[in-house]
Amino acid sequence: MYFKLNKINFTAIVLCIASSLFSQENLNNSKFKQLHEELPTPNVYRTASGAPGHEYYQQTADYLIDVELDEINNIIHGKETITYTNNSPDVLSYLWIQLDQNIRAKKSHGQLTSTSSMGNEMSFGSIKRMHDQMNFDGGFKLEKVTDTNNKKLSYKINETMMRIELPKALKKGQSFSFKINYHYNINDRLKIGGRSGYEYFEKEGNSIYTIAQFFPRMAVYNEVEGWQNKQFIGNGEFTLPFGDYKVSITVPGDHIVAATGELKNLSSVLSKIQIKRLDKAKNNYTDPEIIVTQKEAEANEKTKSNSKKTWVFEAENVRDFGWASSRKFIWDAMAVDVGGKRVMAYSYYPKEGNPLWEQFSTRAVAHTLKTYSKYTIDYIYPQATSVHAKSIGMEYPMICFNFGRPEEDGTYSERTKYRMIGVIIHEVGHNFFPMIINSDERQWTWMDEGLNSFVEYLTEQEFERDYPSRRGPPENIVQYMKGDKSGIVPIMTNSESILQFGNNAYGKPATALNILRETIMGRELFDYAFKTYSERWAFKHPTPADFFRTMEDASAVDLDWFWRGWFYTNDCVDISLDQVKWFKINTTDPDIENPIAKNQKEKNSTYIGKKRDAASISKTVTEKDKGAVDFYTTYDPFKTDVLDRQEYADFLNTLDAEEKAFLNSDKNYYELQFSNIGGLVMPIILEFTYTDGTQEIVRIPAEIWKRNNENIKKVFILDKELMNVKLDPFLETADVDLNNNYWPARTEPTRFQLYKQNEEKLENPMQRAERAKKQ
Amino acid sequence: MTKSLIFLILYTILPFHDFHVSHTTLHYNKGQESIEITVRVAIDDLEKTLETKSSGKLKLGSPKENKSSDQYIKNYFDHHLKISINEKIASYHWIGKEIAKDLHDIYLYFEIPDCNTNANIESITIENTLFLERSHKQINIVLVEFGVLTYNLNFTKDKNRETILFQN
Repeated sequence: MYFKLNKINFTAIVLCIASSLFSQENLNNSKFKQLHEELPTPNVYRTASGAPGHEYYQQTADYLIDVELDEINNIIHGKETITYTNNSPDVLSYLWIQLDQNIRAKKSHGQLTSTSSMGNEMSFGSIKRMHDQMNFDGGFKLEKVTDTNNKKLSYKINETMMRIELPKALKKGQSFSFKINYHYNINDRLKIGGRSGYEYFEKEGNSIYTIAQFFPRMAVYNEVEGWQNKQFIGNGEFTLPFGDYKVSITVPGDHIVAATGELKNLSSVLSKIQIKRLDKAKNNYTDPEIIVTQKEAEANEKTKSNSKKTWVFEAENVRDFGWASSRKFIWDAMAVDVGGKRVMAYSYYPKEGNPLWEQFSTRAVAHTLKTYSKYTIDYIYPQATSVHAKSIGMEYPMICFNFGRPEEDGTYSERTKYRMIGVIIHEVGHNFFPMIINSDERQWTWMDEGLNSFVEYLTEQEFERDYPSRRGPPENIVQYMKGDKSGIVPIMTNSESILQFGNNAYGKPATALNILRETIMGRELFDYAFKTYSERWAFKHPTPADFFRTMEDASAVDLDWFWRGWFYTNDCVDISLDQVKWFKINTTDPDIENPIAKNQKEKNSTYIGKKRDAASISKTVTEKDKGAVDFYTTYDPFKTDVLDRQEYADFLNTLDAEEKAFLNSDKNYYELQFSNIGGLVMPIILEFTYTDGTQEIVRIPAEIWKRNNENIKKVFILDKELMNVKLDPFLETADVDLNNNYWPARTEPTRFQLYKQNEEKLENPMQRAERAKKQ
Repeated sequence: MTKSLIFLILYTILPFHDFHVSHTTLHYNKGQESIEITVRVAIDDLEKTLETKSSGKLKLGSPKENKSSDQYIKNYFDHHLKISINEKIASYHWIGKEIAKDLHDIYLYFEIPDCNTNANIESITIENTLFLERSHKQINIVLVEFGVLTYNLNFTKDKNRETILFQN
């Protein structure tokens, strides 16, 4: 077939095309290279599909703990019996136990390896904190370590880890029980920080205790890490085996205790009226019922009991245990229907938390359980608790400690409200990641924080329309991702070496998953795969490879390029629409094409001198003197003559019907040229606006970059003429530079310019209130 | 005088929100011949740094916002974000502030007007010590946008001064 494309018009915008110097080594550096070399080889424990293998095993650790709070001296005294079961095919000759409190021991590695420097100017608070941390006598004081017959066991403490020598090697299926008696000083959270500790209320002399990492805990042993005994030095949180817990907590007689698990001795610690209210709450699925009222809590905090009470809690198949105790606690409860099963949502808070907490805490807990259950697995535990704890958010199975405190006058800002609901959703959400889907936090912060921040975003958006979520929408991660590479590390970085912790381990993975869901896989495929991962690894220990593989396995979407780019590099998205060329088919009909060509030629001659000459030269020689005129003086190459028409007719006779239709189709051919400046390959999403004002969205998968990761061209055959083209019109790819996303070129106003433009119109809420008063 | 303090080792456990990063953009507006300064910081960091016994609570962005907030902020930035053009300190104006959509951060706007009247800009020196007195882990990121030239700088306690030379 013969027809020629004749370029009659092209408009090109050439915007700083980065000449990406790609290393020309004899290696496969394609961004679409499969991840086989990065991921561990599949085996009988973990399959290539991302599911647990047929030989998958995990260890169990059951605990019997008696713990007592010495409120006067702020000391925890504990006695525990751990029963450890070896389900692995390996023979173990020793056990590793985690002593997390030792991070606060004097001269701990946590302190020694934390870099620090002095400034000429330091706030009083930060110097005081340094002193308080240095002077605090923290860490577990072990009183005895014995077998169940009280025979001493040989052990060695290395910082936050303790190795116990087993009297007899532990084979597959065998269990070993041992006992540890210990105590430790509880840290004042507000003075020296910490995930647990106490907050002291000076006016009344009471404290709120939020207690965790309060007992020596078994380390995880598996086929991935052997013993996960990487020291606890601050950022990398916890890795723990599942087991059953029975914990007796002895506290002053007027305290209320919240904890992991179910309270087993209600009648000996609660009043009759409290038990009655609790029963009522069990059938109230719409509003929280108050179990301990604010009035009762206020009366309670005025005196201090000398008696003691022991609260007994039991929890099955959990990886940890946390609790909170205070005589300041108000307590409310509500029933939640999760897949036809009743789960209780509890909140414990002092009067200082109201009015926010009584209105929102339990409601946020209930909403979180329902939404997470929808996207992952049905919540299996009997209850979920939110405890008020100033300025932190920290998670344990069935219980978490959350900030959000109104002003002393009872008012609160919008920010306090939404951040409190946000932190409760986040920390309750941790029940799913990592408490149930039990990833290794010591190694990979993103596996629980990133996945959890993603579902947190979905949950917040279901709590209230346009909820002011911090992490999730692609545009929120742009500032981080376009930052200097020396300040960024890939998501696949060990927890202790992460730079910009919040953006790296929370924000970026949450955004990446959001982009997978909305842009790359679509909601249906994503949700199914994400749920499959949750179901496969609930109550097990997943690794990054298990997640990456499952997401592909359950969706038939090859995501290796996505994991490689977003998780293994610190590249960003910056796709540039470099050029748009417009082509029309040359009909070769001289009566049509010659006038077009003539018109085009005239348009192109825009030299300023010619324009001026037209006016300033009244007559040229050939215009004045007929003797200077010949054939070429008046020859018009664009004039159609009889021969042209004859040739055209001859040409038409050589074409069949289909070819003739093409020739007369009047289609517009647009060649768009893109370059990848940021490094990440991503789908190309285009908004075409036609000259008649109509619009069309075109979505091209990321695989368009599969043969050339840097520069590509794509032709679009359109009926209508284009007026403009916009790349990433819905801000869904986290493109860090929008100024190269338009044809014709356009520069986006900066945030500063938008603010300044609106400045006159803006008034702050105070000015508005003043104005309202005057009316 | 440099206060001499014995070398101490500091360890802080990070609470949930406590990640300490600020973002500043210096954008050269060719038409206006001005430098537009946009700073994004956590409201918590800003408030906790600026609030003193005499100032009281700032309550930024709330109906009860401290009336002198803008002054406190401007004064703090004059001391902790110093910008020199061609080796001369350039003072900047307060334009305004705006709470971010996520209610976690606040945008602060400043402007250096008429900064290219006589000569070309040959160098910019930035000294950024924002919030370093409060947290030694603070990272201050500055993006400098001069037309097609962009520079991306990280400031920390150990590296709080950077100079960019524009090659003509």
